[in-house]
Amino acid sequence: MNIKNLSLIIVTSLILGFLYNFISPDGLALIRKEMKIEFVADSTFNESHTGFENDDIVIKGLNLRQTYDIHSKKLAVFIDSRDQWEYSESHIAGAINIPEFSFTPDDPEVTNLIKDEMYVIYCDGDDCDVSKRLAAELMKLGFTKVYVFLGGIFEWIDAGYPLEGDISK
Amino acid sequence: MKTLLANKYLILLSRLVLGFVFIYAAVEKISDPDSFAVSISNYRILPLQLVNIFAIALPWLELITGILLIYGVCIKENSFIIGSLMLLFTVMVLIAVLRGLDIDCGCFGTGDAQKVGLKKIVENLILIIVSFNLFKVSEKSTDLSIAG
Repeated sequence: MNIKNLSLIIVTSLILGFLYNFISPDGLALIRKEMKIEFVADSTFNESHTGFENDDIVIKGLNLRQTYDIHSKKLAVFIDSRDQWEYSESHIAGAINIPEFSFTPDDPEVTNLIKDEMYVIYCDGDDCDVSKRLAAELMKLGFTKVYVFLGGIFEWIDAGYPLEGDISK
Repeated sequence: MKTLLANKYLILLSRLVLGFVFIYAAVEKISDPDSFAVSISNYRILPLQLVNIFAIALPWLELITGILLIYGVCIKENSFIIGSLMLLFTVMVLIAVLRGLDIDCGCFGTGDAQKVGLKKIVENLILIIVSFNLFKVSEKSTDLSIAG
């Protein structure tokens, strides 16, 4: 094996990768920022927060009980951050759909939202990240009451709480 | 058996299969780097600060080695890189499985939502064997272009 060729292939790939990342609109920051998750105390519901601490993104997380409470009192707009197919199959009753993968800040769906209203965003469950990423995007736009229901639709279904969608009919 | 493994059609087929698998995997990851970064961080192996660097660089290494392999350029070097990457991926999947993580493997970006598990490990092992064979037999002859 020719070590020179091997190094050449690796170095060229790395250069191309970083170059592409630099010019691509989807390019990543070189150092990944941590998303901190803070569970919200019941007393601090509906308080404004910027979502940023120093340079880190802070996600305000809700548990199932808190989420159900907010849902039954209609305190917040629920946002399903999964794609439209998953959303149409089944979603939390009353939730709107803003798929994170196609999120654009100037989409009318986003520009029509009122920035100081309360929003609860969810995706599948603990493992999925799109709810947190959508929350971060909205907070960057200046939304001040963004919360993430971390248990997601799975926990909601397990609890037997109200759903809408093709499957739940 | 030895001649069978060094058969030029088998080698061509191995190159095409490995090449296309790697190109497909690379394109999926390059088109959505953030999802790939999330997949890497879900494995909870790399420190968070290194996750994006891997998500930026790795797909391009896959893409370039895949293309070169199909064109028959530096087969030995490229099958070595591909084999090593596959070995690395397999170890990561194995660690995830042993830790009981139920995560998407991120192998082909988010294009398929394959979970980590035994099936993935077996698939990877097959590709490792194919690239190892390619690495071994291409030693004897440096020119294994499609024209043979």
